[in-house]
Amino acid sequence: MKKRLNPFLLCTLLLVASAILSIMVGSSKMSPRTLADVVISSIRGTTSSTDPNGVFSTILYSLRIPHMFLMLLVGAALSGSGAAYQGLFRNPLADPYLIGVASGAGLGAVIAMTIHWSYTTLGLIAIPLSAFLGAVLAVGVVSLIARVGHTIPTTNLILAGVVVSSFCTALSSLLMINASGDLRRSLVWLLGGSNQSGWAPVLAMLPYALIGMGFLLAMGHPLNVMQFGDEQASQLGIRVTRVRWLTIIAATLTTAAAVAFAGIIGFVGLIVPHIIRLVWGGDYRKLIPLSLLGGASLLLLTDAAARSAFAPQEIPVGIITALLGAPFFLWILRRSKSQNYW
Amino acid sequence: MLKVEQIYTGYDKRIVLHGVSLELEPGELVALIGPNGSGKSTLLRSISGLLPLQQGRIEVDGDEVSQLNESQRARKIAVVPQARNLPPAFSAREVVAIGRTPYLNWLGQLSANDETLIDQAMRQTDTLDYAGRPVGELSGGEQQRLLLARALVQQTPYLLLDEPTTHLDLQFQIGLMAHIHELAHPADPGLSTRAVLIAVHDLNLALEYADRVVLLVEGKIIHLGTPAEVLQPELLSQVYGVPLTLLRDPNNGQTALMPKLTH
Repeated sequence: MKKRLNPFLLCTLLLVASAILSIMVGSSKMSPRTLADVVISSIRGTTSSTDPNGVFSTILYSLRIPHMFLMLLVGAALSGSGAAYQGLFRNPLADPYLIGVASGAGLGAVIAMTIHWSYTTLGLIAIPLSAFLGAVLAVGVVSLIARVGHTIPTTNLILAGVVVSSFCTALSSLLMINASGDLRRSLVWLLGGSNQSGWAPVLAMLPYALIGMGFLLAMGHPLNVMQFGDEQASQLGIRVTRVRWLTIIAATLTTAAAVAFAGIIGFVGLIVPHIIRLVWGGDYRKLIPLSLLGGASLLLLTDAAARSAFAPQEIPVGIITALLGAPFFLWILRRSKSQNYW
Repeated sequence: MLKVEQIYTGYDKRIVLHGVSLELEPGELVALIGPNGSGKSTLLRSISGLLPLQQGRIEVDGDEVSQLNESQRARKIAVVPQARNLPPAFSAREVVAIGRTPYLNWLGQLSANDETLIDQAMRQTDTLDYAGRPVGELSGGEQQRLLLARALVQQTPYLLLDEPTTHLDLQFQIGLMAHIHELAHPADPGLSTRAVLIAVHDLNLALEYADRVVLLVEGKIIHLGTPAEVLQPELLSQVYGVPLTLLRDPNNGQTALMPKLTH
């Protein structure tokens, strides 16, 4: 399996399949035939026979496809930053959600939202920026609390993450209760479900995501060297402090962008890099790009499940990822203890 | 030449090294001995540029180490640490390849030349047989040889080793020391000659393999010379606080230090 299949090809195919499935699933079902018909006729500039009123076409281009791209970006962001945090903290359980970064970003976003910038252009810039500041603060506090000498033990990391996360969530709740108008929308958004539709959130997220992910991709080799510890990395020619900062900023920016536009979705950054590490090894030059592809696929699939499992009721995708992720977390915890895997 | 001139250094306010001076040239293997806490690791860390000096200077081929950046330093001085907590999902070959870092760009793409050097270093350290296996599955001795190979592909004239034999079984200790000795005195004239500074616990390994021995006690070099000069039972008995005798094997003339055990 390792030798025969190109992992990049495999993950890309999975992503394409997930994206198509994501487009078809929803309150009004779209069969592959209808989908193909609508797409072909819109390319030709004609009206489709299966969609004479253009209803499917509107749903497809103004709702489904932008939503698909949003989920794709968010999944890639969470998974890629998860892989980077794991490399940075040299800890397989680092996930943007578990180490409190996502909650920090959530708090930042809620603060920006309660200032009522939410649905203007300014809001689309201010919310991710504020989320980024919240996330940076959270990751700073977590690594300060958890650090023992030069290392961050797993238990410390997770405990510090829980503490910071609880604190940020409490503050977010407090703010949301006071800001009565946006309360429900914010609450649903925080559970991991986009409260905005159409292309605006996709376009607003794109620059943050692309910059963050671009830097994450460039960190592959330095992160490989950092797996031997800071001292050895320095003796091998790596500028440890610079790599550390660039990785933190890139991963945190990527996480913040995801949280600002899709709320707090846990465990994607834990599940995907871990599976990829098991199948294709620990080389961060492969792990990060494959995590981006795999994370996008996983979130598209879980989001499709969230929208169809209790149809016509749509549930926040964060619920599905948590249902999958919590047992997975326990499994990794047992494994990393018993096999000294890391 | 690697020149350590009158260095004072330590951690926070605690000074560990008090005016240490040392010179090292390619073609020699220098053993660094001394009781625990005498500053052996601190000296190696200072030379590799990890610890800032409070006084004195360290020069490598005419450049002050503190003035070089990480990558320039890593092309002059390679360090072999004790094999502990290696990333277990890495393959043996990936670990060795990491040694090419100072010559690679940010993306870490290996050239054909890099691959050849990696092969060569793995052959030299007898690690090719398990090149594809994950490090987590390897024994301590196998891991330690990989770290030696990793240092070799750094292609540095200077090699520092911090007690690489400590956790190894006897046959691996001797095998590893033979590899290390070979680096300072290569049998094949095509291979480059390195300067090796190695901290060792085992006085007999120093006696057997070193060209010169440095005895470090409480952050000062109290003796520096050939193994026969430094490894004298009276001197070492005093330093280690254990009575030692020098035994000679009548068959081959090989000598060994033996502590007098008390019950």
